[in-house]
Amino acid sequence: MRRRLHPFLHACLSLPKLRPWLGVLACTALGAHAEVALTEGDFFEPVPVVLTVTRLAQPLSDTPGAVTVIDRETIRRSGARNLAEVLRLVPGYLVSGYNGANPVAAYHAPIDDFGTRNLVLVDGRSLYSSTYLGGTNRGMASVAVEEVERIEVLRGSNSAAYGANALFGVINIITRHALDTVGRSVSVTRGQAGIADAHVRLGWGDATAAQRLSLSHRSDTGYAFVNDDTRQTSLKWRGDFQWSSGVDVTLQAGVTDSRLGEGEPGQPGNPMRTVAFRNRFLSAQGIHRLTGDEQFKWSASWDEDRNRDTFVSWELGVPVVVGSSFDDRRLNLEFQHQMPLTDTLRWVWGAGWKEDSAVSPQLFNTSQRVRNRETRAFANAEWRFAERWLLNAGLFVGDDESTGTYAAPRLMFNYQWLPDHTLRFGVSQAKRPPTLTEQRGDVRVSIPLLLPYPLPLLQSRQLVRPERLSSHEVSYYGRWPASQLSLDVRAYEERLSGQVGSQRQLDRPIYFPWDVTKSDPYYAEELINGTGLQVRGIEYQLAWEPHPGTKLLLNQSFSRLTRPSAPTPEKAVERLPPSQLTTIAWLQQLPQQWDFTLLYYGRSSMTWRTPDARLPNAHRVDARLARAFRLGDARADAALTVQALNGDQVEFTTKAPSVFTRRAFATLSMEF
Amino acid sequence: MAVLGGAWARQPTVELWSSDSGGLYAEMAALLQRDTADLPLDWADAEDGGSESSPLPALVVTLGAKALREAALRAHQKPAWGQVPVLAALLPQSAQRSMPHPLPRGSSAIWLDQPVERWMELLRQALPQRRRIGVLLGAESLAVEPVLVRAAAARGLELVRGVVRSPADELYPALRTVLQRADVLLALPDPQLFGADALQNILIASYRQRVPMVSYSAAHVRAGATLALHTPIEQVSLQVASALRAFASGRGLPAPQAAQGFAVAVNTQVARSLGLDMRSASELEAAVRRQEGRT
Repeated sequence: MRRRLHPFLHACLSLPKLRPWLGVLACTALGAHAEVALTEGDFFEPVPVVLTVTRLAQPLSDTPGAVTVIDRETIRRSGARNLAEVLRLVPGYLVSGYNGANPVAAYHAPIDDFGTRNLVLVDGRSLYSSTYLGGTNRGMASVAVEEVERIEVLRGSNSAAYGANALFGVINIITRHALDTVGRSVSVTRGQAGIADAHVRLGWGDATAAQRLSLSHRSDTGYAFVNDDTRQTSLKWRGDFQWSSGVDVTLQAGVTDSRLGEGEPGQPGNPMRTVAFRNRFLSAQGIHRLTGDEQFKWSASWDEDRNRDTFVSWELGVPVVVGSSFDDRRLNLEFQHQMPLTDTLRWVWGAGWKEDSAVSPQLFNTSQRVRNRETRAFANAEWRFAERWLLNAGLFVGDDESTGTYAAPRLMFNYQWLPDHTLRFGVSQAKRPPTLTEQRGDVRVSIPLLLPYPLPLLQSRQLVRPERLSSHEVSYYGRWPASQLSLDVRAYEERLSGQVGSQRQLDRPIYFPWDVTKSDPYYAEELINGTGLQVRGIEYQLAWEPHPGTKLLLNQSFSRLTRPSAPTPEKAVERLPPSQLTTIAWLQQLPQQWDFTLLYYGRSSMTWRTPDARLPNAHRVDARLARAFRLGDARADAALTVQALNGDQVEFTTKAPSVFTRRAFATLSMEF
Repeated sequence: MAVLGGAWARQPTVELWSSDSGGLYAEMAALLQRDTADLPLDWADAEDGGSESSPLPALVVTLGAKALREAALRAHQKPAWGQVPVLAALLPQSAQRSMPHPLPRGSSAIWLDQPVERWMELLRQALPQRRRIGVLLGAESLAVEPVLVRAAAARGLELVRGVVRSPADELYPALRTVLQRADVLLALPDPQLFGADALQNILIASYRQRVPMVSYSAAHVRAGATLALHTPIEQVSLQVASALRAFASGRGLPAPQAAQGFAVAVNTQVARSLGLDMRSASELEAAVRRQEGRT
């Protein structure tokens, strides 16, 4: 790694007290290590433009919607152990999970309790799983928090730019560039609740080719009273290559192996067990920067998940083999072209193809691979049509193999009436085509001791049409640079129609052999588009640095969800999100390299499922104290974090207790 | 030859030696002619080797490192020239350190380097919230380290250092260490660290981590550095002219000095993209000048 310099040369360079020109003379005479002397040319020579428009992040006043950016330092100082926990810092995001092994961060949860209606991208690769519950939570859990450079959350519908699943928003996760992680790093965490994490990283290379290999392990015992231990190990590789001038290629590969606890004690229908989940992926991304601020991007990815969860249910008094084991594959190809057409008009367009497929006899009643393909095209024009006005007009068109063509348009205006104050308003329509299970799920169970034929639990008849979300929003973004203050406020009205739900197949009664009078039929379930819902809300985020070293973040979300066309009054009030969410973060740098963080999360009452399992208001306080120091040549960081400092938190439902207990853990990390 | 206590008997000749014809040097020569028009000096262009018969000039002014090196060589090889003082201009201080031969007695220099105090003041005016200054120190810039440490400590700023002795191996690890902790990257002149290729990658890496780069060249600002404190040649010319004024009046050349004049360059697009509220270049210049005027 480190070339050993010739001893004499080494001595030359470390004797600054010698008459400077004598010392350097001796060194240059040796000529073993050519030194380029500084001249006036270095002060005046022209240099080609490096940070062109395409390399620069869009200023927040120009974005076609409200954006929350969370940087690496904030992630580190928040003490979050997984990505879902970090998303507490985004207004309107509820972080919880039906058990500790499946943390979910979702907008308008619990309607979206597996994050299906949120697009989650990691370096452009979608983490969305089309099989079974069709969520993004498993994918998010496999991202190592230590590898994240920045998270950008585009709040509000972004289907016009990102397509299906960007219904409620887009979570864009950007991992660290391989060149930024050259060197070695080790981090170990131990604590209560069985917390035992480790992360080892090795990075090498230069600007032409840089690579990183990282191994991480995470485990804990999740909530109390629930079987939800997590044990997850993942190995990831990333390579960043400069193919030629103006062409950057990023390649990534990874394997994640998880053992996740499932089931509850004393529940014969949901016995305690361990689910084995494995993900493997390969992805490639290329950026070609052409002259004149023109850029061409392409990406290709392959993802495979394997879920093994088969168990014996005793709910009916006789053993029944049940499960949701599947092999899921996602292929994606996409390209994008960006260019300025005139001084005031920028244009992006692109096209793509994707295939979601799965093999799962338990979910689809066939050993054949079940497939769904989609081709898509999108375009967005960004037009500064008047001095203080910006218009973003975008359209996404997808052709889904099973449900046909759908379109998602958006129109957003930005009006900057003062240099630091922008008003945005616009409308958009988004669509979500059904998942493989929603469209083709065929779940049957064999009960050999009772029935001669398998009993269908779920039988889709391919009736599901895409869900539709139409939204109107007004938002404001303002900065007061003198006070280091920024504020983003967003008011919205969203109407979701055709929400996918289940209903009994009343036209297909099944009579059990012992039901001689045929008076008590059994009905299987099927997925159909149910009624919709309406959400009206206002959310804001405030960032303030009153003086250097002190950072305050405050975000709140107020919303009201109604179901005007619910079939029954009970249905209208199930699965209600909290009407109020609050996050307050205080990040304080202290003298002598100490660092302190205090976080408060408040949530008003909500129901994950039915109203009788309503959770009361909750407040949670997390605190972290850290110190940076040197261990020889290495930089080290020691931190103590306490989550739920103010006491245990009741998560999920009150029917079966599941409690996030107060837990303290210590982390030691080193870079050398 | 320096004349002690008295005016010159005859209008002295000053030989101007440029490192190269055209471009920067021609511009500088023209500015010098303009700024010294009122002085009782005669200008002569240097001729290679210098003719044996023509009278020696009273002073040699070199523009650039190459010209200085050649003038110093000439003074070493021809003893007569060893009596003619040299005013080295338009070069960085470290270039002079690497001169193989000493200069004649009475020589002096006007360097392009800006004093460390001015860097600190500009940082304070432009980015007052940024208290952790990251610097990459290579072979050339290591000499400035003690001065930097003192200046930072005096202002209560933390200096995050990355020492790069062998750029091929150590540049990116050092950059990683520095960008990890620093909230602004100060680029001090060092061709091994900030040569054309490396500069591009350092600019991209520091932008990727949202750390603004403050540099010593206006060209770097056009390329993508957020802020620069540089020495425009008009200011160098004025400084040389004032040194010549002292020489012409018989006081001899002033002691070697860093750049007196300065200018600030700002890349507003990059600053805006980083969410920085940067005052305009002229406002920052005025603010720094005001502060210097007070002390």
